[in-house]
Amino acid sequence: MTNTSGPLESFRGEFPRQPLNARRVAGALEAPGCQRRTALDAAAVNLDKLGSLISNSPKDRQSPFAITRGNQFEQQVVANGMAEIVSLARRHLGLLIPEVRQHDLSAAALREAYPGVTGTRMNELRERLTRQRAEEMLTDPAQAYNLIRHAMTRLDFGGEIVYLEQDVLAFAVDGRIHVVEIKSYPRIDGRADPRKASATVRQTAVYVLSLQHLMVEIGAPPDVVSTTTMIVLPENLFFRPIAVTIDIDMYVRRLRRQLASVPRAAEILDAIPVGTRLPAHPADGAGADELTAAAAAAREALAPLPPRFTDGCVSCPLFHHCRDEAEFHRSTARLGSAVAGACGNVTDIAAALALAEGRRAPADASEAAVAATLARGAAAARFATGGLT
Amino acid sequence: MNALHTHQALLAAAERRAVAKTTRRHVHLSPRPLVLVGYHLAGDLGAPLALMWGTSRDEEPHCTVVPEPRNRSLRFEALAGFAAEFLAYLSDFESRDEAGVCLDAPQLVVPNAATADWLGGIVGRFTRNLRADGDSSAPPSVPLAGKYLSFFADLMPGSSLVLAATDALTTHWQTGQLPSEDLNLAALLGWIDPPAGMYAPQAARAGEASPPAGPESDPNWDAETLAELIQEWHAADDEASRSAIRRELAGEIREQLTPAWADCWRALDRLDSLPAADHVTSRWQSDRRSWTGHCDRVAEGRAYFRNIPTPVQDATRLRILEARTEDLQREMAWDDPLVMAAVVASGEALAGRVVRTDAQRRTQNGNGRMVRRPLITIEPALEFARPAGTTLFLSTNPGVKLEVLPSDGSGLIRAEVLRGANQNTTIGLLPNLGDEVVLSPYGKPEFYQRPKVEYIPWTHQQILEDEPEESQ
Amino acid sequence: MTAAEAAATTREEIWATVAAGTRSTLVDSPPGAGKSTLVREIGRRAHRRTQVPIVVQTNDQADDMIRGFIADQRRGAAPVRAGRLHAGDYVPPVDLRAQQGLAFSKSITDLHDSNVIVATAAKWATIGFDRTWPFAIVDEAYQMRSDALLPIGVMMESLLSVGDPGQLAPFTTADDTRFRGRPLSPMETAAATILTTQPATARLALPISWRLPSHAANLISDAFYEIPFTAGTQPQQRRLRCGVTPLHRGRTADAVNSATRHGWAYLELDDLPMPQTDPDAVGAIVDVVKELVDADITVEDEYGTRGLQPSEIAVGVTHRDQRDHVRTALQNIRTRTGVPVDQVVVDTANVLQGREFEIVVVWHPLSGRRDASQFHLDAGRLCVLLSRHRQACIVVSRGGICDQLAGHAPTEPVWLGETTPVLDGWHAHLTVLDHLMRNAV
Repeated sequence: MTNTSGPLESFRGEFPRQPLNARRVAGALEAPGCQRRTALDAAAVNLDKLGSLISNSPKDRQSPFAITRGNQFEQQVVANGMAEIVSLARRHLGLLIPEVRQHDLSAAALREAYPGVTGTRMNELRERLTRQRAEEMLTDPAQAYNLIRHAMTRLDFGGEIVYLEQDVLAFAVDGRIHVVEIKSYPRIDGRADPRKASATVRQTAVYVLSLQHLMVEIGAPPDVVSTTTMIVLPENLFFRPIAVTIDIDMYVRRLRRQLASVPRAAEILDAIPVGTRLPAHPADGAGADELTAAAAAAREALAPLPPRFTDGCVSCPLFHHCRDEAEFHRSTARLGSAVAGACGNVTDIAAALALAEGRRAPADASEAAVAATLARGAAAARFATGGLT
Repeated sequence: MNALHTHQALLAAAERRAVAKTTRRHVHLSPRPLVLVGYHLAGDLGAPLALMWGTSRDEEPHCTVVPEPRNRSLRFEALAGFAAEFLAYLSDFESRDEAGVCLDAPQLVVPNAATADWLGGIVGRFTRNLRADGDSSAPPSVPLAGKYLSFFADLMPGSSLVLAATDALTTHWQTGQLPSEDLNLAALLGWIDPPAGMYAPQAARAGEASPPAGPESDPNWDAETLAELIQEWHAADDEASRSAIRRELAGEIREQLTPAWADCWRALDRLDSLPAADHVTSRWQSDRRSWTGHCDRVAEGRAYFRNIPTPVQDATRLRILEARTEDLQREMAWDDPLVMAAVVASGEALAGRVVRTDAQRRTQNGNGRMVRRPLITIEPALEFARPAGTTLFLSTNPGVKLEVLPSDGSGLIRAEVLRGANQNTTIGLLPNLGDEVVLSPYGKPEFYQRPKVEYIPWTHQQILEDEPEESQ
Repeated sequence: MTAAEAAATTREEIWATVAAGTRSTLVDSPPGAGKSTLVREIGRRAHRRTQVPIVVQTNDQADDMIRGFIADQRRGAAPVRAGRLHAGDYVPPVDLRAQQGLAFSKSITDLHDSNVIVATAAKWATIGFDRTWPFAIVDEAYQMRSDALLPIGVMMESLLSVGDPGQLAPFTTADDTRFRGRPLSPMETAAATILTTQPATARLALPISWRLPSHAANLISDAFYEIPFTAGTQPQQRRLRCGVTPLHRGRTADAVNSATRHGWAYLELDDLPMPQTDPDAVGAIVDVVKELVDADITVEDEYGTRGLQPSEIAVGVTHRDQRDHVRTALQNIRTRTGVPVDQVVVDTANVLQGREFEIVVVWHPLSGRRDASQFHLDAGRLCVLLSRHRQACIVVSRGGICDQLAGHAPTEPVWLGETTPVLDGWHAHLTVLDHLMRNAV
């Protein structure tokens, strides 16, 4: 049994897959309405690999030092039976976690018990086990595990069910589920980087929403999942962990609305030529020719998928490709949402300038307004510089 | 987005070259700036990896590296090396004039705002309170440098004590790329100063491919080069091998940071090609006074910085910030017709030609008295839709205040002078027939006394469960 | 309990709280809930014990408060000697100059025998505090910036703050990044500061809106307010009747009909991106206004029946140039046809805040935009525009709002440590849009 529809599977072809995680889902919603991205997400294509293949840029991976530091902080925080977390949870969430009984549902942890189970079947297994554990946690809190790590849940994305890696800690205490995030960016003098915090909060909302759906599936009310999240961060420059709580209900509600507006992946694929498919990814050590050919094939496969280029695209692995495409097409979107917005329905840079200079007649009231606005800008500049521009 | 800037962005994209947003330079350029670039270890703001600096583009910059950035004594060693030279540079700016104000002030030039924030907000912030005793012993030059870096972190709009090259450049040029792409100095210079024979987009791509300007290093370089060198450092067992690794690291760092170093100088060159705006000097004078004040505080041992400002400090700061923001906006518009053009494009300012003047006009004011209110009639160059009663000022002489009169249906704008040109001594300021004028919403700033708040009232006093440790 | 009883009960609760010497009391007041009445009532009761300073934010608000005291007295309330403390360049409005029992001065000492002293926060900050008052009232605590309260906090030993949490928050044109993320930021509202420093603050909320009709109160309460409120009137108590049947059919007539019948109308123009001063939007708004005036509408409410005056109609917009274009267009109609449409009030949300009208025509903040922006999504602005009316609200917009909202990525920075905003503008807009679509003509 596969979890993606036939057309999505055939579109992905042999290109590596990667189950979604919250970072990817939240990232997708930073550039909403992009059909190209939606199709790739719904098909669970490995976006990082695709991005680096077609951008001709080496993998922009995270620095090993950042990864190490993040791991170190996390290890410190979860050491000694999660002593730090228990202490912070008591202080900031008023939660009394008597003793942490954790169960690790990562693929690595399960491989031994379930040999030979891989790929989609492993995802299904993890999801099934997650559901069982969640049921136990709620029906028999005293005996069951009260912390699941690396759970797997499901999410409806673009009309397709995708598997979601739960990187967050979900504690069950007193019949409710509390989500704890561990991040390694610091809180300096009481303030944490607001862009990073925004990403964190939007990602956590994905986890919470997915957990709420899981609750409904096992017959529990969704508000079993508390929307008050605890985020553990290092204080200043050291590893002393502090915690901030935030009620992310607003972000969960937004997420629900946003997910409802994601284009339907099946419809997107209906509209592209039959047989469009991504190539296989060349093996490690492949020659330049092979990479170039694969890159070209991948670009060709992506071309019929309509993109929606906006300011939010910078965080997408495909950014360089779609940007170059927008530049090649001389589209106003390439200049950013502010400029594109000011140009209304005029999506071509040359057309916009032609309207401004009166070399092209406006097709409707909107184009006339764009022409007048841009002409005004040009006239102001001319007046200022005595006609020298 | 402002119509003028939108048009400029479209032009830049079409012409494949950045378009000038200004006709003047609105930042001060020091004859002897200190260009400073650096990296910290990825994910660890408190672990500087390297600093590179210098005051002349023709001389090789000084460079200090930390072969194991997580090692505190190596870190302080490197910072001490930097601090000594940094303080030496700053000491050149201590001589005063007769009024006791420093004759000149230093200027730090960094590639981008993130580097400025890191140097001031992190390096300065966490070194300024270091004690010379105890475990975390660092030579006194380090906390002293930290106090100066903290001073440089605390600046207002309009200050030129620290120039972030990307900010300074985007103030003066409009590119054809996303605003977030303009944060990459090399790409930005690709638009503003592409190499001969190359179009901007191509040059920007090439810029993107060059090593990052900091304060974060290239993750791929981290994985391929830095990781190996740090590993070697740990494996080294004698002084000779350690020195060799240090040298190798320094060589690698220079390779990574030299493009950013060179780009800072290129940025200064581009800015230097513009004539200085009139108010640059007065803003620099304000910078000099601010620098003088800091030097005094350091000399008297009262250069304190609160890690978390009090509500009173924040309120004062907000007030000053708002005033300086408005002042800068106003001064740039007065100084630069192209900046004022954006205000005209937005509809807030009127640009046109004077078609009639009546210097002797008298009219009844609100109290019934007859007063002299000269009238000028302007044929607008661009449609001006602000209603009667709008207050405007002559852009060339903002002391002259006018009010728009009700429209007479002719399409011409009539404005009467309320102040500044209605006496025989000042009537000469009235524009002449045929003059091209701009009337803007920017008048001379009004000064009014704000009360000084002595202490924090109960309404603003927070009782915290536990005071945050005044630790590093 | 009837609405009047509920309101009275709350008022007594508020007085009891204050009279018991509670150090800090905060009253949330939804639109038209009688905030000014409450302030004056508490002022009247409290002054028997001590002189009461009343802090407002603008000179207009101060003058209106004085007018309120006078009107109360005329209606039989206990007389109050009101003092108006003001800055040097202030000129008392004509209608207040000759009133009895009023004192105007720049100096606090001149007002020593006033029972209540009304002044702006800025003026209070200048008086020097060698004496303090046991109790003071701060009005518009949700529009007041924390740094405006800072210099005057010392003057009062206990405090009643009143304000509308759903309206436009204070703002600055400067870059306030430095001040975010920590409690007691100068940019936060005075109310937020009080809640942080005085966790024991007694919180109450006025439960009834006397302004909003029942078909609006629920929407506004759900979309914009944490503590719900209800309308003070029954549906049948508020009615509009058209005196003249419109001569021509068409969407303008439909909009007016829908408004008179259901209290709401949504007139959607073609989905087309247009600049701020969209001439078609101006045209549609002006047509609606003319239709309203021509229709010779009769207003029925709890005060009786009367003809609708043009000055009881308002047009609410977002930008000043939108206001200017609408005003000019209305002026032209007046000149051309003599119909007094130029008496209709046209202004931005910032200026309309605090005022009320019988019918309001709203130029939707997102109309004609290609993408939503944080500024235009602001919940406070939308709330103000939609909560000025006693009878009906007609919203005019270009289509495509739904797509704008769906295409918007709300990725604004999050300052951990700040209280999560209660209102989500993006969400509020969606809620409102859903409602408007049900009343589309």
